[in-house]
Amino acid sequence: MAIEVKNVRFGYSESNDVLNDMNFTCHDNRVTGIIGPNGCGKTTVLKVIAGYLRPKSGTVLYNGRHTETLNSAELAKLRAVVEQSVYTPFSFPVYDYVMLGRTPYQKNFSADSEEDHRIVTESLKNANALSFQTRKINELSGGELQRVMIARALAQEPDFLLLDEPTSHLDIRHQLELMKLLSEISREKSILCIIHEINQASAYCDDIVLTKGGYVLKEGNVSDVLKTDNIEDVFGVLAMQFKHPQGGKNQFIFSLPPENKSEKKLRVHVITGEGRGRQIILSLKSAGFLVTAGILNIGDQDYDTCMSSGIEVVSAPPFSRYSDTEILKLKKMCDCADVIVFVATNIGFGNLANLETALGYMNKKEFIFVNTDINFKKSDMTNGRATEIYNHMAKNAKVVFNVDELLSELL
Amino acid sequence: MYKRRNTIIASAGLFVLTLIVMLFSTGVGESNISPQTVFAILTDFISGRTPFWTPGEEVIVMDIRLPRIVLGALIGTSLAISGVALQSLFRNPMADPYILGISNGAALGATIVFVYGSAWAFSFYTLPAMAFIFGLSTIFLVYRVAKVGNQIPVNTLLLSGIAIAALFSAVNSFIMFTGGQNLQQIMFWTMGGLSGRGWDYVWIMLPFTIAGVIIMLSLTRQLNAMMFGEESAQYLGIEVEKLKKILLITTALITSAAVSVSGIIGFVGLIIPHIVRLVTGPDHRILIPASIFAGAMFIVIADMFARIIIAPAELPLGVITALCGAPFFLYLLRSKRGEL
Repeated sequence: MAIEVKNVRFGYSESNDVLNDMNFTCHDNRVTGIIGPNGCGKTTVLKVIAGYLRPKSGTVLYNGRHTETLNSAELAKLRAVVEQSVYTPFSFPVYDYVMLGRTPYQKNFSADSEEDHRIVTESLKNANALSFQTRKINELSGGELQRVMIARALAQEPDFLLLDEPTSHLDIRHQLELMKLLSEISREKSILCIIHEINQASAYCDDIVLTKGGYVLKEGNVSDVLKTDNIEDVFGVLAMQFKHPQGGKNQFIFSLPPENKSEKKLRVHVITGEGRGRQIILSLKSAGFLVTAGILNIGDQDYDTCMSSGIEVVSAPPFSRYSDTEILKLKKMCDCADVIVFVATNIGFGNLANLETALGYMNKKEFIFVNTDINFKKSDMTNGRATEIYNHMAKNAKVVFNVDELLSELL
Repeated sequence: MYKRRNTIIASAGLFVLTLIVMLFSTGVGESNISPQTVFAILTDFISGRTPFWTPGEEVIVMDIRLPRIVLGALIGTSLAISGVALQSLFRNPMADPYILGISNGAALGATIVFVYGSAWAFSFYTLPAMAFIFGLSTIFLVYRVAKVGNQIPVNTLLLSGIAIAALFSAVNSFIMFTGGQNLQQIMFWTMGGLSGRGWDYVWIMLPFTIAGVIIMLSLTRQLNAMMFGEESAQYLGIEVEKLKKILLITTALITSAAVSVSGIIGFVGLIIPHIVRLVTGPDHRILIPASIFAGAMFIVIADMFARIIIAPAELPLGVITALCGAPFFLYLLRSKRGEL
């Protein structure tokens, strides 16, 4: 069972196409997320798949059956759609609204059958909406309405559930609850879902379809598609990757890329740690510098960022004092670099070598001391040695306080 | 929660109530006849009992009162279900059967007959026929203007309805102003009435009403779905464009027919659906059957007042429907605020 989208082209006017050539497959019993920037045709492609809009060319197949050959009722038994929101000026009871999901199975003039009632109750229960079944649809909060809409979709007993940004109006708890609910539903049904939140998509989707400008840029397993370079390609932001503590799925922190690019192809070595240098490393790389980093402990957030973004690093085992080989490697890298950037971190005997090496290059190379967080009291576990060097650097080195200042210094 | 049993009980109750209202109303007018007498006259052909009433009373009941009351009931039903359907279709509580300009079109047709009609071979049916043709043509025109490809966007439909209604209303005023005759007749017609309508009018109206009732009863679930928008309805397996056409054609035909036999009876198609909805809730599975009877009763009662308030003269029916309907509606709106 699958939904196949093949060469779909669509536009709201003759001359202008929103979807140019869409190709992807939504597989069985998986949550497939559609991700892409605003205006790239996510909602449009969902409406085409749902059969509400007819493509100019191309086909949509449900389990190998062409949508054009299915009538409305047949299609409604195959797929249910949860729109972004639903509005009516009339106060309709929740239970009867969910009963509307049975419409494709019912004949005119017929009464709701026992089975219809059973399925509606079941659907309300599965969508955690049973407790407000007697309320009116226009009195529900955003989170409740969303669940009721899902209950109605479940009452259609579809093979496929299509959702358009189901979490967009919800607070964070309701968002997480809803995504968990979708994961549960996906054990029995296939879900195709437009998602705005990249981290949610990464945490809850099995497959991702990444779209841009009416094309599918990449599709496949979530960990293969949601990668920093793909995200940068599609959204034009810098993405710092790290692992979610629960489940270890990839998560990202985003920042705007630098506005200007360097023409000089300078080599910059960044000495940092504790995740304080992530944004600096990515911004420098994005601005066209050749970036190296280290020494970083394996498992450090800066280390993960460098690994996921392909930056050359001198690394050391976690929680250990740097060895002489590592320090030698660091010095080699610093010798090759045109600029040394030192980002202030906490210092203990473990990483003291970073600070001392940096001090050694203060007068040899162009040296910039980055103190990203002025309020941050650098803890010194080295009996005053680190504080001494910091004070010296603050007085004698070029000091900047953020990425933008650093970039304007270097460009 | 909707229960079909409730609908059946309510419908049966309302049906009986409607019959009682009609029976009572048949006795009321310039000359009053007791309900027992009316009942005896009506069941005469079954019971075959010897008349204890005067032949005059029999003529009043059978040939004057009864046809106009039956016609009133048919019109009330037609306008009420059209209003229900259009409010769902447009997802707008302001929608009524005249929203797409039927009334203005029909009024133009009627005015033409009143002003220039004497020059033609004037048949009794010229007026209803012209009103019907003009009303239906207006809807057709509005529909053609609003149609984009094979679809009818609802907002465009509303706007083209408003624009064309305004145009026809202007032409109508122009004819009235320059023609300058029969103005009172035109006024009386545009306020609606059942005065002097015989069985022939009932036979004109009956097939339209029956067809309308059957179609609307068959579409109750679809009407429910349409309240949540076309897209939503489509996802529930409803052929929305087809449904829209059926609803438009049905309401256009039965409303045009109603206007052609009784003039423009305002307010019924707007408030009956609302009044019923306030009692039953917005589920069309009970809203449609209840509106069928509520619409019928409302017109029958309003017509009764039109006959007796300034007897022996008659008030235009439209004046009564607005006079009783509007305050009652306002009362309901205030007492059950926010529950349309």
